[in-house]
This record gives sequence, structure tokens and C-alpha cells, in this order.
Amino acid sequence: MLLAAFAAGSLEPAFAALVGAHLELRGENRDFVASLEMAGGILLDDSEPVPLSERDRRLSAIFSDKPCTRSHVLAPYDPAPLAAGIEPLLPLALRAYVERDFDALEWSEVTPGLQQCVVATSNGIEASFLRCRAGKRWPRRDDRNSDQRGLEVTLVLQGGFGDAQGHYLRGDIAVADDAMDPRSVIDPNEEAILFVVRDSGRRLNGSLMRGAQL
Amino acid sequence: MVGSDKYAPLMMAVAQHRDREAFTRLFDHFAPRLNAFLLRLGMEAVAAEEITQEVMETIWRKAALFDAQKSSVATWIYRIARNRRIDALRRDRGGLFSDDDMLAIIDLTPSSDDTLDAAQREARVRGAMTALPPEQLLLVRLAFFEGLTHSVIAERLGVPLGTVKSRLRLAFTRLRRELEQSGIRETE
Repeated sequence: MLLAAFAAGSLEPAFAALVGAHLELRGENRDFVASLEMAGGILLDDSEPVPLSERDRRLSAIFSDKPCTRSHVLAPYDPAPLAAGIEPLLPLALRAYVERDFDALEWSEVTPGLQQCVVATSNGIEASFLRCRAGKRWPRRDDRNSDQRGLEVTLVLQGGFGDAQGHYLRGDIAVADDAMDPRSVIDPNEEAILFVVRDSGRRLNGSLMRGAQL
Repeated sequence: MVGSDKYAPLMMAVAQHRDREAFTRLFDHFAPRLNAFLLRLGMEAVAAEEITQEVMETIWRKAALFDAQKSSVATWIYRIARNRRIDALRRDRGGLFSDDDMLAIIDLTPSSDDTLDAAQREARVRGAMTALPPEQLLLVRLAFFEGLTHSVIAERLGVPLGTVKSRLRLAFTRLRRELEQSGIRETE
């Protein structure tokens, strides 16, 4: 359902960035999302038109090439050029979302071996990066704000971890809620870097989003 | 749109010759539909028109980036509008956006062993959609493309919430299966 909501554009920006990054890193769900986007195009094409006001003025504004929309006023985020052949730690969707490169993130220690960088909190949604020491065991949420519960989606950016549901590596998404055993173990060989989005107001819908069923 | 995309040549004319007449035809077809689409997603009338305008401006400026091999014009425009709408949510928290944000389309080109072109793939998606029973297609439409919550759908259709959820799950599973059977693979 995350994939369908992504294709439909109904995800909150933090979740959209997470799913977009997953699709960049891993190919297995791209076809399905592309198909749903085609379905979106078909539905758009088939929809009953609602005429715009001032059609002629709108057209000439576009042809004048002097549009007055904000996209021309604001400076866009300009990611630093990348050395050829080096895959950046942050996929484009995440860099565009946080408007920073990974090196510019500021970390604070939550517990020994666990550092956090919160990038957004709004509408009950919290998006953060986590750095977890290799081999660390932790109950995913209880170490942090225990009042913040609900749906939690984790994207692995570096290293890996395992929990009761499975094992996750770069590009994988783990979905969890209160009902699940939250104990996780970071892989022993490398520090793990994770992007985590939590929605305290949302719960998993039955078995629909569990496990690999995104 | 099945088989060939009649809007693709118009996009080419815009990309190559800044053809205003071709763009006007694209505008007259897509702008009112984008407007309708954004209104259905619950946008205010003024905001829907503003975003439609921004998307159409982007299409005028970035027509050269359209690739008929990868998608139909409708799907390309749909994705730009979808991304733009997400950016509108970001703007609420003070984020910046740009043409490039709108065009930040992940390359969803099918894997290399898939030899279908965009038009063929699209025909199959259309086929998979029409293979759904009407009440399931309606639910997919309401839930995924009109952004309605399950409880609003239940209220609107006058059926219990549980029924909405189970029908949606059926529809979604079936859509996946139809797509897989028609050659659009999805690996778990």
C-alpha cells in the first residue's frame, strides 16, 4: 500500500522521499510503481475536464517565458557534483527532501552507540536519520521517545539489521507497528545508517502492509 | 492512447520548434483535466489552477525531457503534477522547490528483459484496470487517485468500513496479478 500511495501522490513528503529512495536503490518494485503511475496517467486522461479561468492570459504568460511563479524566484537545491562511479550514500529523493548532503547532517547521541538527526516533525510525523553502532541490539522505538508510537518505516542506507520479520540491507524497507516485536540487531560488520519515518497517528492495516508487502 | 500516443508528436513539436500551436492543443486537453484532478484531491480552486499553471509552464520549458519510449504524455504529466503536489505540501513547511523537483522522476524504466514499449505497457495496464469488476475499479479510483480515506469511501458508498477494506485488498491483489500475468513483472 505504500507503493500505491506513492504512485498516487497521497503520501506525506517524508514517506514519499523514503519510498522514492527505495525505488532508486532497488529495482524490484519499480515496474509495479511504473504501472500504477500509468494507471494514474490513464485516469488523468479520462477525467472530466474542469475549465480554467483566463485561459488566454495563462497561455500568453507561459509563452512570454516570464512566468511569475515561485519556482523562478527561489533558488533550487543544488546538490554537489558527484565523482564518477561513486554512489552517494543519500539517494537523490532523500537529498532533495532534506536539501542537504549526508556530510551536512548534525548528530546527537541518544544512547551509547545510537546517534540521531531529526530532519522533520510535523502532523505527528517524524523523519530522522539514525547511526547505529555495529552489533548493537536495541528495541527500535523504546530507546527513543516512548510516547511516539504508531507506524514506523525504516530504510537502510548503509549496513544492515535484522528483526523478527527479516533481514534488511541497503535499499530495503522495514515496516513495523506497536503490535510487532521491536527488537532489532544491527549487523556486526559495519555501522548502520537508517532513515526512519514515524507516523504516530497511523497503524498498519491488518496484514496489508506487513513484511515485504509494501 | 492505446497503441500510439497522439500527444507525443505534439510534445516533439514543442520540444524541437517551440511550437505554440502544438502546446496550445496540449494545454487545452491536459490543463482542464489537471485542474479537475487536483480539485478532486481536495485542493482549493485557486490553488488547483495555480498548480495546473505551474505544471503547464514546466511542460513548456522542459518538453525536451519527455521521452516517448518511456511513457505516454499523460503519464509524464501525471507524474509531474503528482510531484508538484507533494512539493506543495513541502512548501507548507518552508521548503524550496524548483522545476527540477517537479521533474525528479525516478527512472522507472522497466528492467532490461522487458521489451515492451511504453504504449504496449500502457495498453496492458489499461487492460488490467478494465479487467477489474466495476465496484473494485471504483474503489481503486477513490482510494488511490482521489485520496479518500477508507472511512470516507464507506460513508460515500454506504457500505461498512470492513467491506471497503476487504474489497480494496481484493482489487489491489487482483490488479497486481493481472499486471504480472500480462508480462509486467513484480518480484517480491
